[in-house]
Amino acid sequence: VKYCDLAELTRDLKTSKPVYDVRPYGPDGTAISFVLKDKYSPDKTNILDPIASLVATYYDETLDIGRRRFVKRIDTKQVYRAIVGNIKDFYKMHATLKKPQTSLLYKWLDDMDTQYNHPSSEGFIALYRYIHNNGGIKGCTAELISNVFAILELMKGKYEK
Amino acid sequence: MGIFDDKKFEQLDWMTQITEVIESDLNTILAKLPDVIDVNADFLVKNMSSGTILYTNDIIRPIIRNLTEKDLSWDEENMLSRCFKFTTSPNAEYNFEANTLEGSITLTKVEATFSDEELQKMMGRKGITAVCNVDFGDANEWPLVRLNEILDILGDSEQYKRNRSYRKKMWQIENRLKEIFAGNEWRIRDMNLADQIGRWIVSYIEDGNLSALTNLCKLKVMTHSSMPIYSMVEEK
Repeated sequence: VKYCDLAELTRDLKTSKPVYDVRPYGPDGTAISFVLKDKYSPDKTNILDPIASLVATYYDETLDIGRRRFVKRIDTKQVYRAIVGNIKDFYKMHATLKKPQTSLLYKWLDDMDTQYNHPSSEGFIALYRYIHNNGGIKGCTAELISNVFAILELMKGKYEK
Repeated sequence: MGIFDDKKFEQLDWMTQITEVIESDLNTILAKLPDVIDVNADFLVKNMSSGTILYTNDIIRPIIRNLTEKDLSWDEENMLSRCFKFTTSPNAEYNFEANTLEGSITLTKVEATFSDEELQKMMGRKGITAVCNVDFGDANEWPLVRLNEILDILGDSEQYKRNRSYRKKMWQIENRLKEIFAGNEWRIRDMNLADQIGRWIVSYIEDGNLSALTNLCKLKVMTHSSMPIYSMVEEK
């Protein structure tokens, strides 16, 4: 079962054309270098979805020698870690505890940030969207904070072994 | 024919005999390499798998390997490659997907021969490499007597002959060879002959090959004639 398909979000992203400028490299014409003419970089200003924007941040491309073109490359596990990490930051910033890192909820989140494609991953992705569509970590309201905390407690109760 | 005759030297013209020009296969190979090489898209398409920088080596090395069956060292291949320079037309552009090259990339030979100073640095290097690679494994089996005999022939190694360390003896053999070639002490003017010295030493140290020792001794005797040495009758 695929709970987390972040690679799907790269569908609309493009790749660079493998067209190179040939330039002298090093001293006295001992080498030439091939510099990519137009390196593609995703324009994040036009991406409204916070998850798609995060995916674009981690988006990269790699030259497929056999097919002679660039192919999309995204480390979805890294993106997932960033999503859960962001939720952990949210918790640390807004929890009223003296040391939020020692709380059971935080420890559970710590365990979850490498659990890519876990049944809970859908929930974390939705929660990330919810936080960032409503002001993000810093600009959120008290209502959002209490909602997020309540959702996290529910998720912990549901998914914790 | 005497056993210390230098046939090659006798066949040289008087000018070469006087100037003591170094004989090297590298100059022959360099002469055989084309003066201008057009680098086309088909070459570039193969190169892109190894990176986005193309060195003169990448083009020259395969040509050399096609041209000669002689086993050149990495340094020798680099030396030959350094005789070439890239020139590219302004705005040269390579499309990897379509495998097309707009503009031109050429490799031009900028040196026709190697100077004696350049060749002197390479003198005997293959032999020295062979000496460096000697590995007997068990230190108890090191032939210290043979090592001392070699040190005796190479000279300037009295303190190392007294030393019991085989490592120090080997290090001194390597060091002495480097000194002999760098200072042109033995006036050897043929690269192949110079490379043989290290190989004879290795052959004698490893297997006790007496022909190798004889060749080394013969060559050492020839150095006393105060003449440049281009060849010698080698014992097989």
